[in-house]
Amino acid sequence: MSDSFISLSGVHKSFGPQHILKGVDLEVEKGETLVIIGGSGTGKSVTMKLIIGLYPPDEGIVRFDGKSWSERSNKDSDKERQRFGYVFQGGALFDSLNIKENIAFPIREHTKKKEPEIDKIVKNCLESVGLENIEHKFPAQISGGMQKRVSLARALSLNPEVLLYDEPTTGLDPINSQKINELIVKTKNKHDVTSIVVTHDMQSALYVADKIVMLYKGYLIFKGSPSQLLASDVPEVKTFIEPALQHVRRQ
Amino acid sequence: MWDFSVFLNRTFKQYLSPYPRFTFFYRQFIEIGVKSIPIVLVVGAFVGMVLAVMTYQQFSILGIESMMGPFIAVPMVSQLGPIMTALMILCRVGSAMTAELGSMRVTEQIDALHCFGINPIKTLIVPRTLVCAAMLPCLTVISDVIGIIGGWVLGVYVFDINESYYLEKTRSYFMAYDVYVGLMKALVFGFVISLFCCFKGYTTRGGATGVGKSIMEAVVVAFIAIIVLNFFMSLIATELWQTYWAPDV
Repeated sequence: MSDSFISLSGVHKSFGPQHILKGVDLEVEKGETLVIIGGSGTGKSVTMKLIIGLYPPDEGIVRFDGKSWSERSNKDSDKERQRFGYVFQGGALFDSLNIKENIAFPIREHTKKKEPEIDKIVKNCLESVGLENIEHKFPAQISGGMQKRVSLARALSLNPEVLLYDEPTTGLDPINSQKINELIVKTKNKHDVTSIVVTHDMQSALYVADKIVMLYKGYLIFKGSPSQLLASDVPEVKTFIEPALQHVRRQ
Repeated sequence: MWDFSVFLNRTFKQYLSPYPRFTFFYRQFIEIGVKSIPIVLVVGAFVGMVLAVMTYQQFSILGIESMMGPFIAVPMVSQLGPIMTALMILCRVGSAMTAELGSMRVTEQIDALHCFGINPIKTLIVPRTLVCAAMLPCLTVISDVIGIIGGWVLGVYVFDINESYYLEKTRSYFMAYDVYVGLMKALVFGFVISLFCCFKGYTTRGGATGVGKSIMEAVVVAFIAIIVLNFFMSLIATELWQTYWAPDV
């Protein structure tokens, strides 16, 4: 049995006739930042949802902190998920609630904190992602980049041990993308969290990663450090990272 | 059907678990109950008046138009009040429920709740279904009252029927049993509307097209269910009345 903080062993996952993951093995150690790269539809987001126990694997085992999700009761799983923070691709902010209510939502659900204390946490979370004075705005009234930062602020509200980022820079301009990358690194250092980032943005991947894995057609075809990735001889890996490398060389 | 059964099972389990915060119920109370009152008042009044016109037209041929009071009040409380209110709530609230939950599903807001360790059935479905089931009988009472008043105004002031005779006949033929049947129907319709609409919204797949499809399916299925259930509940109510409470002739 794996001693890693998070591990996937021989995981298969299908949706109808589509076999998305075909025997994935993966380990994530406490405090490290793992980046999962790969083209669209290769199962990156599915892997994240398996890690947090939203999807059960068809085959194989997904473990978190020494115990598989299938061994836990629903109540227990809900409790364990409070140790995670999830930054969704589109933000997934509750659009009927304003920014303050969005960030306060998990705190109100899981703690008995009083309003002044909640206000303080909301303010701190927003400050840590470089935002202020937007508490009373609604998600539709702020930009996509701000929505992602609010989503990260909300994910931080319960002091998670693990942060999952689903395509954090997709759809953002280069300046906002860099802001998010810096936030990922800053959050990891400040809160000492384990981070898992799913992306196909190579610049982002190389900036934030301690370890990178690449998914290709449902298989994990690369595992290693960013420098090992750049030196990789695997043809699919080379094809995937080449455009990003050319961009870096041009710069 | 299997998915709906699983959904019902999860929802009923949550009915027996600790309830979410009062805020969740309050929001639904305002949306489903308070904001539906104007539309229920308008529909109820006009249904009552249409009943008065139709009854007067038929009864005046037989020369018994002064008997029209109970023929407005009884169908209003036992049939038209609950049905029309249910259909109004289905259009106004049910479709909005499916749209809101469907959008939450496709924009991963429901997944976000899961990720926070929050049960979406508990926070999204339980308040909507319980408040809808509780509010429908209340709105039906409002619809019944305004419908009967509408019929009375038309009968007494437009068709010139003797007021005391109209009221006396209404009182003598009107039974509390009809009110109970109407309210029981409204309670069941409230559950049916909210459960169907929440289910279709909660299980939406496929972006904006999926949301549209879910709304259409939810409204059509709930509409048919209301009409069919009304028939069977009326049949059972009549049978029960005749078996246990009808006076011996």
